[in-house]
Amino acid sequence: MVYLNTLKWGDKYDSHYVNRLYTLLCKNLDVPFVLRVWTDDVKGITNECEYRDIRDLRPYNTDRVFTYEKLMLINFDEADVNGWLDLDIHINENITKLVERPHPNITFIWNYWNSFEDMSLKPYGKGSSCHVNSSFVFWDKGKASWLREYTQINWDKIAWTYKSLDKYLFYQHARNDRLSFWGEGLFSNYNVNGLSGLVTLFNTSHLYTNKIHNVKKHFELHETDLFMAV
Amino acid sequence: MSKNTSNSTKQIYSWLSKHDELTFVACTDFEMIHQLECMGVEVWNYNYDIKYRDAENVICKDAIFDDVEFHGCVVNWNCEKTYPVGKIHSGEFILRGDNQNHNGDCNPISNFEQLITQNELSEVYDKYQEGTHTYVYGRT
Repeated sequence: MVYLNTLKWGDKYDSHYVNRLYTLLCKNLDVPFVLRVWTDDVKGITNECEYRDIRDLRPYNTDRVFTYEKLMLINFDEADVNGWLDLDIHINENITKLVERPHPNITFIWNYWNSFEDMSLKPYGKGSSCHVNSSFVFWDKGKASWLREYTQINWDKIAWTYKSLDKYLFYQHARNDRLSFWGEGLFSNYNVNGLSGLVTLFNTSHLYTNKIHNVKKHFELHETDLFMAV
Repeated sequence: MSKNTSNSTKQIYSWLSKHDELTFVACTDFEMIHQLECMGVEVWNYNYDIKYRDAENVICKDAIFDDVEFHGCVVNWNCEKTYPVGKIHSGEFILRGDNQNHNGDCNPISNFEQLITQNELSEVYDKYQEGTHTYVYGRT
């Protein structure tokens, strides 16, 4: 069995996002799975999903480390294979080989679509870089415990320092080679290199958390034809 | 117009030169560090920026999160970017921070009290402000 998890709270993404993700998974994943939706509002979500209360993933009262809730899934009623998926992704092709392969360490997306030297290495010391993306993450049972434990021990420092989960992962764990990453070409960013690979991300959250407004138009998934096509 | 930094330079140098050993955190003023070393001060310079992995005289570690040793007076040169070092180490500190609120700054510093409280200083030897920067010298 595979447990897949997704988070939905607030009103940025509606239930249609959840239902289309479930439909895409049924179409593109050939192993038995349960999609668990951690939410504050179950209205409109298909009964095919398992509902969970998002508050169960919020031991800390903070507006820092945006989407830290994802890390609270680690060591929390794990299956043999576990994953979390963002709602604003499009699955282009069959992902069974990504899910079935061993995950001896927790595996994240590296932002191959951006130049590391220009986008992350040059400004590294400012603390504004980020080349890790946590939109599609998998781990085998017990293999991500180290990350949950490190986060718990260092939480005060982490919450003080980082606005987002991805920055924390980039500066503290990618820097020390503790994370695993999917191979190049498996993922794309619709707003940078279009539709390619097995999965396409939209990746707009950092624009809001960093208050970046002076960039070219970034499309949300629901602003594209892909949204209604499912 | 030339930038007049003579007063501030004198003041910070007078603090720094009181010590035989200094541990710098997040400081890229390599010229100043070089001058201190020429004066016989022993310096440990921690910087998490991976651009300095192969740089001489830089210990490429995160002084807040990694396992590091602090020697002598600890100089946090960019308090606006880090968790307060006074919360993880006891001793003497020279603290410098600004309120520019750059992307990546987690802790913009606007006044003395912030640095003193955050770093749990029990005694303040001296302090001053220059432009956007706030400086405090003291101990926990």
